Amino acid sequence: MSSKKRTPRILEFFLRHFASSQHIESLQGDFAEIYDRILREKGKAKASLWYLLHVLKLMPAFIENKIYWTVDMIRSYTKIAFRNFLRHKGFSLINISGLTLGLACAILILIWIQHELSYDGFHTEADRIHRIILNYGKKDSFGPHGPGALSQALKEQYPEIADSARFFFVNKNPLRYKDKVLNGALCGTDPSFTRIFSFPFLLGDRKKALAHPRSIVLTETLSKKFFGRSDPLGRTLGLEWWGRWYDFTVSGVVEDPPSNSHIQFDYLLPIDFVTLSGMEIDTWDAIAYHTYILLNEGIDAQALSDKISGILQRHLSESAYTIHLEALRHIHLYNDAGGGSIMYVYLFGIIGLLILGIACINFMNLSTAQSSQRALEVGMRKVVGSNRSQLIAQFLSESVVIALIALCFAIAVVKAVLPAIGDITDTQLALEILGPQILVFLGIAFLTGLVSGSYPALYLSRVLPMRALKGTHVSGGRSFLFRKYLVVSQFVISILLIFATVVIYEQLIFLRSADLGFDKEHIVNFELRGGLRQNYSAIKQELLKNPNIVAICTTNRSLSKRFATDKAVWEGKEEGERPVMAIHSVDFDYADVFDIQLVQGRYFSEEYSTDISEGIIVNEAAVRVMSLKEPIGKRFFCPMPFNMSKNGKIIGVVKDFHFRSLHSKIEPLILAIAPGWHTDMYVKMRGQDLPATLAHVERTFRALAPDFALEFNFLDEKIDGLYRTEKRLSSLIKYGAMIAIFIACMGLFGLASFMVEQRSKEIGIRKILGASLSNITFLLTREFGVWISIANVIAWPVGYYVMRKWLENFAYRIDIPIRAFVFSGTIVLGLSLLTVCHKAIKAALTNPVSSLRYE
Amino acid sequence: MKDIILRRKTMIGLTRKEELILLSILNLGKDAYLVAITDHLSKITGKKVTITSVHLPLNRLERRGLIESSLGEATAVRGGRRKRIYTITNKGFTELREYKRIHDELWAKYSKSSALEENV
Repeated sequence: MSSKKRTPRILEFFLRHFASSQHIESLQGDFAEIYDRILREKGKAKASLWYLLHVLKLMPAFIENKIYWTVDMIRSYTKIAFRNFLRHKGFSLINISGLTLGLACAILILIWIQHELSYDGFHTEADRIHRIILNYGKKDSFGPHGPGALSQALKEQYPEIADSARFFFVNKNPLRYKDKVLNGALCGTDPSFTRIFSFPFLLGDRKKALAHPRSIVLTETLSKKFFGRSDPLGRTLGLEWWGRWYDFTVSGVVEDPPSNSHIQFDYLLPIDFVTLSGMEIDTWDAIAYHTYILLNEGIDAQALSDKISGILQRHLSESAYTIHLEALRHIHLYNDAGGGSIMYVYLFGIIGLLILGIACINFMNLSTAQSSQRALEVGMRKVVGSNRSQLIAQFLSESVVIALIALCFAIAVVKAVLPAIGDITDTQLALEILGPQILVFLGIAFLTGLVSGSYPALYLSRVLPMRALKGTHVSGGRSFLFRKYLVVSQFVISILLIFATVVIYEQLIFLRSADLGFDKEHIVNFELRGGLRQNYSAIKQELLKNPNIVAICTTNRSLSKRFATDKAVWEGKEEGERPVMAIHSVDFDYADVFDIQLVQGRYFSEEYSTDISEGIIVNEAAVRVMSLKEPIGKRFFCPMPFNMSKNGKIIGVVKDFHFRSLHSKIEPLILAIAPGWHTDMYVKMRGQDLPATLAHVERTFRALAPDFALEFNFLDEKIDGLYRTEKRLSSLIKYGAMIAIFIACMGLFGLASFMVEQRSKEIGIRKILGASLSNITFLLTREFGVWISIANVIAWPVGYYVMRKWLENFAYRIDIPIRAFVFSGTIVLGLSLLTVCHKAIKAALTNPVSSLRYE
Repeated sequence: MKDIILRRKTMIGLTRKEELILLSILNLGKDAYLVAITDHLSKITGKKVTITSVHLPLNRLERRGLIESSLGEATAVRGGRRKRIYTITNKGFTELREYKRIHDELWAKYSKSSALEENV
């Protein structure tokens, strides 16, 4: 046997890496000797086995040793890290606050995404629940409203379907207990509701809660509002439905639907209640009900969806509608009927990653900028014998510690701003510090620490000890260009966001102050309900006794809802002309309340008895689309819902006014009188003594319509509400801009520090040769000024283009104001120069001796 | 953590195994390297002694300064790797002698008292 033959490499490898010995070489020799001996006596297999077994026996000692040294080194690392932290307080604070901001943004976005993804997942059977959606003939035109008979038919005809329930939603409907009237979101449903969905019941028998046709189930909040702490079960509540009151008995209380449920309600009723107003329910004609089904286990939803899609044709011969299934958990995210939020989940996910990434890169910039201060330490450690991987571990652990500290602050920040964010996004977001969430956050912080520490660690561990100790270490600038681009692009984003904020802000001001063509001040809007509807004329008379109430009128709902027709017919109409005209039902006092101007003819008047049945008033836009020269007196047929069509004459033309939001142009409008259609009352008041006037209104209502839930809106506020999306956008962008500027300035600060560091010798020499403070400050600042200008030049056209596109949403809009350019430019330039100047002046004031000492 | 480990490492006195190893090193003289010590101990005790159970105490003894080591000549047999020869330091020798004194004294006392018993 050749004794020169070495033991297998793989075995040597194990020994080398799993044995702790100061004499690993000779230990290998010893092992090899015995290995050879066994090899000769018993063969290769036995020898290898022996070798492995004995390496294994060395393991406990090895592990013990490792732990011992690791603990020791970590202790030393943290000590040094802490000292460094204290020595460079400013730097450390900037570093930590940058990471805090990045982490806070990431956590916020994560919480929000988690909330979005958790939608409807709390139902035990969530995966088997589907919603029926109808395709209304056209491609991509889906809606959840279906016929009432569908639910039963599906359940009976298809064994795959275990259960089904219908829903009928009403946004706001009053309930009364004794003399307390409250509005709440109504949800009519079948008794099977409780079998399909798992909204938890707090009181009452979940199985029988909706069995009785006159039972009602309240949410916890609503129950508290009515009954306080006393037991609501068995009490009788009044429900207003189409102007009349009906008694319902409380049969249960459920927890409020969580904000991640797409089904929201304040109280549940058996769906049959709709028949109280004569509405049909178990037919195929009335398309008003949502249908949800529960599948049996193991059913392929897609196959079933295809199978049932033609069911409507079998029952409604003329129907072009097809039905489809939509999984419950998909409804919020991918909503086929429009408005799914998955796009935003992706968008914000990317934004979160970007912010975190930029924060990491800024951290790297700042850390490498500090490198010459740490170089000495690294040199020393290397001389004493630490190897590169140990140094890398040291710097990584340092950055991880900083990231963890930042995480603590970030969680505090998130806790503080979460309520505000909830307001902006209309969701209840929660952060449980002692939940499983925290593990995820710790993971993120750990990763952030690793990523942001990686470059400085690699960079610093490369330092040559000789150079570092001699003091001639120069920070390398290999990735300097990359960092420069990065900072410039950060500023481009900041400028864009400021630009957008300014434009949106100006547009909002414009919208709010725009002349709508009617008077919107001091007009109070009530919904016509219950006693108010029944006693309207008495209430109107009583109210008008107050000298501060100018006029009162009723109309159908006009501000946001759309009532329009293309079937109007007029004298002189040409074949094929079918302009779409909006219909607005008003009364005799409408013009007085809203101060509508007439251009031709006259307004409706009680002196003309035919006005109610035949009077038609149009606006100027309508005259234009009908191309009528002499509109007054022309015959006009106006189709209206509920058999209230008008066959009459045009008696007047009103000046165009904005009856809808300023997003759209003024459309052709028909005014007619159809009181049966009215849903809203408007009261015009004088500006002075508003509280007293409102008190008078309240007294009158209490006396004459005690069942009326006294809720009202000021019209100007309601009009403001039309621009809620824009307001939300504006505040989101505003915060985004602030964060972006902060992060960009941090990046700039890092870059400036780095540059100053690199040029410290140059600055020293310049000073010796007689450069003044302002010379040097200018020298250092100039370059940054150029970058910021470049950022401006890039950002402005982009901002201009994007905001022009945005403004196109509005039929009435501002031009992009010069202010937007000036403002975004100066803010960013000012802040960045401030950031750089601070560094530059500090560098210019340094004694040249300290930078040139070692030359 | 650190303290627990440290206390174990700076333990005073010798275990039986350490004493036997020190004595083997004395016996073997210039040939006292790991494999030789292991074989020697196996032979003397008549039990199988494994290389790892010698290696770890050796390391510990060296760290405590009771023995020291130097590299021997290169050999072809051991995959070309040199032997590490261990020798006892003065400190180690003193410690060993102290143990011997205690042993001898204890045995001496025993032989006096047991002599009486053997005669019964």
